[in-house]
Amino acid sequence: MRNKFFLIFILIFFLAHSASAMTGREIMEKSDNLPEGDTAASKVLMLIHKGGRVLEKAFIMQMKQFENDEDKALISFIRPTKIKLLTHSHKGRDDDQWLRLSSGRVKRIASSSKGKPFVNSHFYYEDLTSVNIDDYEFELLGEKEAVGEPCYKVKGVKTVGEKVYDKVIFYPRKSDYFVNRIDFYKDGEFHKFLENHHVKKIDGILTPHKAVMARADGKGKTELILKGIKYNIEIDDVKFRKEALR
Amino acid sequence: MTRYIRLVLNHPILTLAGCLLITIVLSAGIAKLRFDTSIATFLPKSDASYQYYDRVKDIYGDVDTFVILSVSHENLWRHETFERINRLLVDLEAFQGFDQKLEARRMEKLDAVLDKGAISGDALFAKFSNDPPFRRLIRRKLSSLGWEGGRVDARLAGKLKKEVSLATELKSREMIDEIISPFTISDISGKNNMLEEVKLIKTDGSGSRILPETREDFNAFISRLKRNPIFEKGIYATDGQGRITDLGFIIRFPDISDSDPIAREILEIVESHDGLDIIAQGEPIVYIWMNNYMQRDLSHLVPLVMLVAVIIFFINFRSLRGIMLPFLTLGMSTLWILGLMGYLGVHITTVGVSIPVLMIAVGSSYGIHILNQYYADFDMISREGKKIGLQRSMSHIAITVLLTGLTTFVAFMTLATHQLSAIRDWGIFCALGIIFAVAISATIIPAGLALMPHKRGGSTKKPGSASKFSAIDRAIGLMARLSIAHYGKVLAVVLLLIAVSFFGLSRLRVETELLQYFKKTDPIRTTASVIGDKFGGRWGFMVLIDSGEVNGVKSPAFLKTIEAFRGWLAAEANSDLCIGRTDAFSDFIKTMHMAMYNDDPAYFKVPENKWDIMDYLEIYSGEDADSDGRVDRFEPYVDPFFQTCNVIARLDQKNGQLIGSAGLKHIFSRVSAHLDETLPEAYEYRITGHPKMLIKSVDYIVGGQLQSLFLTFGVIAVVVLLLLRNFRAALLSLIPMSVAVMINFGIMGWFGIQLDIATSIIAAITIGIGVDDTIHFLNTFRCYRKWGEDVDTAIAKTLQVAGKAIIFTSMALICGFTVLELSPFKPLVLFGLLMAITMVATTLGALVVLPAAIKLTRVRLSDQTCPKAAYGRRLPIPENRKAAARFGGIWVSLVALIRQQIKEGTNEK
Repeated sequence: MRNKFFLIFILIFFLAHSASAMTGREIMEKSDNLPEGDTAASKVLMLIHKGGRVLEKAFIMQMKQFENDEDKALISFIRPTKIKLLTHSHKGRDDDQWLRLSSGRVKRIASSSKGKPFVNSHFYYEDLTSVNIDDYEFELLGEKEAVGEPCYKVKGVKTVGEKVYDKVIFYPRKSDYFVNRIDFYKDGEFHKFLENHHVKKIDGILTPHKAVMARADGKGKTELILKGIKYNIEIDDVKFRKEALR
Repeated sequence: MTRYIRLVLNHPILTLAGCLLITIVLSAGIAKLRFDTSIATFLPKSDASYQYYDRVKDIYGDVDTFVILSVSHENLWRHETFERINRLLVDLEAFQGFDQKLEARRMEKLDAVLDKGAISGDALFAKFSNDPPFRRLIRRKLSSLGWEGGRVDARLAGKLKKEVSLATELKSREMIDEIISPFTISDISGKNNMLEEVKLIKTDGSGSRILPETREDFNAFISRLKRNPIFEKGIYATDGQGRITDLGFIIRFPDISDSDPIAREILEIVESHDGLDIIAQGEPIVYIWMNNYMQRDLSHLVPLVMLVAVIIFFINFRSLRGIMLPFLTLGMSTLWILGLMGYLGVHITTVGVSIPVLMIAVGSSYGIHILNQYYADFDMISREGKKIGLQRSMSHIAITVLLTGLTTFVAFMTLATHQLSAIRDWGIFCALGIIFAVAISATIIPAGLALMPHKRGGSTKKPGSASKFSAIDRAIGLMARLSIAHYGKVLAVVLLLIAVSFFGLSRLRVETELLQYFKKTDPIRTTASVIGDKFGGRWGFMVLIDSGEVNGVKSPAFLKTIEAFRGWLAAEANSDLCIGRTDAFSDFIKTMHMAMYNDDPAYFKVPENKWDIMDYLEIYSGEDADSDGRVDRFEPYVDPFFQTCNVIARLDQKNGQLIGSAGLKHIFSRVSAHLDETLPEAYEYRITGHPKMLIKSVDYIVGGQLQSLFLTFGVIAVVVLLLLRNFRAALLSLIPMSVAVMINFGIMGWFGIQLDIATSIIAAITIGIGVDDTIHFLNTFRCYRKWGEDVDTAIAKTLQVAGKAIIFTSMALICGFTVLELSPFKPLVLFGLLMAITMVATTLGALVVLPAAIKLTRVRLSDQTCPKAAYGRRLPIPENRKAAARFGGIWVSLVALIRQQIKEGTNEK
């Protein structure tokens, strides 16, 4: 019973389901069961808003599901540098991540570094890994509107692996359980939030075309804009091997 | 003035009660008075270079000035020792992050515990056994209140609550920005192909530090410390053989200009952790020490100065009223001005501590002059009746005192335009203090005399009786002979003295190095030396090197230029630059490069490839709390556009030689010359930082000194010109002060006393007080000339009447300032010595040089009005005074009023 909100801010697949008197866990299971593709690829424009300026970065994102409920994802930057980030998501333990520099040197990212910003954006390395609902304890807090739509409000506390956030609050839509918003709490305080915008079905899969991770204090945000996303296309497994990074 | 004196004499009880009431009200303001020795008061805030410094601080933070703690212990590598160090750190960190709810709970609990009544110390601490940091704070505050164990009674409890509340308020301001230490710092490691941010001391889930326990733990910790070369002399120091002996804690502040309260708190925390060997250093600490010394010495010495003044009063007047009335004048003047400063929220700065001494000086002076007039007019008062006689006598002297007060006021007010707020405030409040001293002396002495029986004092014998002070009389006789019969020789000697002083002046060194104020053996100096040896210095400056393009800092060529510059700064051949350590952005790149090559020290260098640097910056994991586009740890070293690199150079006194402003000028000049020669054309640089501002402050002290001197002389000349309507008299009035100021600078030059913040105010005080003597002399001389005496007789009689008062006034001042020689604190000793010498000079200037100059120039003052009978009818406000007042020309107006009164008084006569 595992699913992964692989790259949760971009691709979270949920099945629509009517709900009555469900628990937090049940709601998240329904979200977990939303349709998803075996593979996905997209160009992503990353706009980092800091200090009144916008820093633009771009990368190609490719992902594939493997046997044993494992996902693998490769982020290959186009600009400003050519670094790559390879993520292997595992069931019941911390995910593995490797960085490849422009020079070809590859380094594994320690799990203790997952609470650190990714390429100076407002996303952490942790935010780039998949979410396994079995690693969480959920509690339904109520209902609340998020991104202009009625949603459930479900608290999740990670119980397995390196814990970056104290808790996260999910806002799955009441209509189809697609998670519209996530609030992140760190060091006892509301730290940042993710909102999915322009959610459309592509090949039957609910897909946000824009995701925004913003600081709770309003001091900055990072936008991710998906361009030309394609599902269930052929991607060679080799691409997701650590050795292929070199 | 006549009407005012009449009013005072008619209602003496009411007048004294009014003065007493004002004194009580203003004295309450003294409780609000705060000391402020912060650096900000000496910074030239309107100067372009300061504004640049301010902009740099906005971008990079207050990074050039910090507090550094060197922490050691004979058994450093023990868990217990690390626990102690951790407790020290926790106490410091309380001022870095504020938890409002927690602090509110703590205060509430403390209030509840203390409100129940007296409690034993142990019971009080037991109440907070589950909150050790707060328990330590309570213990610390109790110790600062002088508690040595035993019960905490209601009074102490009240004080404790106030102290804890102040500390909590300080915490809420989060006055510590960052603590860089082995316990808090992280490093980047790339061992075994794993890129990891490693905390040198790891934390558990709750954020508590997991301290090493076993030998292996400590060895691992030491190895983590030594892995990165930038940590040596940064967060640890060795004994020269590679053994770590001290751990360094660098404490940075969000705003160094307001560092005074937090620096005090840090010192208090350090003192409370007496189980550790801690050295605290840094500019904020030096300022605190200096302030403590000055406060301590002044609290001991000011009463002694007052006692000396009382003795002089006794010698002069030999009567209770002769002691009480001038003493009340100086006491009230001091209380009024300090109280007013308290109410207005004006802090006492390092310069401002001289205000009480100055008030004592001028208060005694005005008191002595007024009381002396009473005794001089004793027979006239006896003849004409107490009321009328007192009115005539007091009106005459009150006008003279008002004139002297006015010119002294102007002398100090010229500092109101000074660039440095410490000196500006000092000038303004000295000027106000003068007004208070004039008002008080011209009020309470006549009122007091009106209430007391008309009685001859011990020093004023009936005519014909032998004087008890034949020595003074002989001295006055000598002065009269010198100035009348040998005026040419006198002036020749003065010219010689001026010439000698002029050569001394050319040797005068402008220098400001705070540490020189302390004796060589003083802990603040010895610890500065130790911190220099261990950590490369206690302060530093910044060199901003601009690559000329956005992201230019990411270029290997640029970073190599930075590295070459740092290498040059630290080179043995350039030891005259006194650079103990440098920090720059390239350190991060070098650290990352080494990490990417499995922590191989051979790769602790700037990579050749630009893409490597760009990648490192992309993957460098760190928070960007203010979301300005830079990782927080980069902020001190690079701007948000990655265009300019900030090289921070720490200054270390080499061979025990202090680095004063002259030394700093040499360093900056050498650095500039090197960069001019070696920097590629596309790059630009600027040097800034606290040491640079110190030089600027010194420039302003010198410039301000000259400006103030010329302005003061000019204004005094104009005031005297307006009063006496005689150009030559106006010029003559400047002679005594000019000579005294010249001698002051000459002595400083010849004896190697540096012109600095402390000694720079002496000239202003000299003029302020010296002008009093001059005006007293000129005014009295003018009257004698008016009453028909020839020049020689007028000089002789002036010396007999005004001269005696001037001598006693000066004796009070000289003896008062000489008391400061008892201070172990160098600035006070020098201040006292120079003031005593210049007081001798101004006295001789007024009593010998001025009459000699009058004799030489034969200046005519006899056609001027004399205020001898300046009392009587109601005076109309002259038109010119109205107009002047309309235009805000209050001083012209005052002068016009005085002149009008003088005229009216003469006409009446």
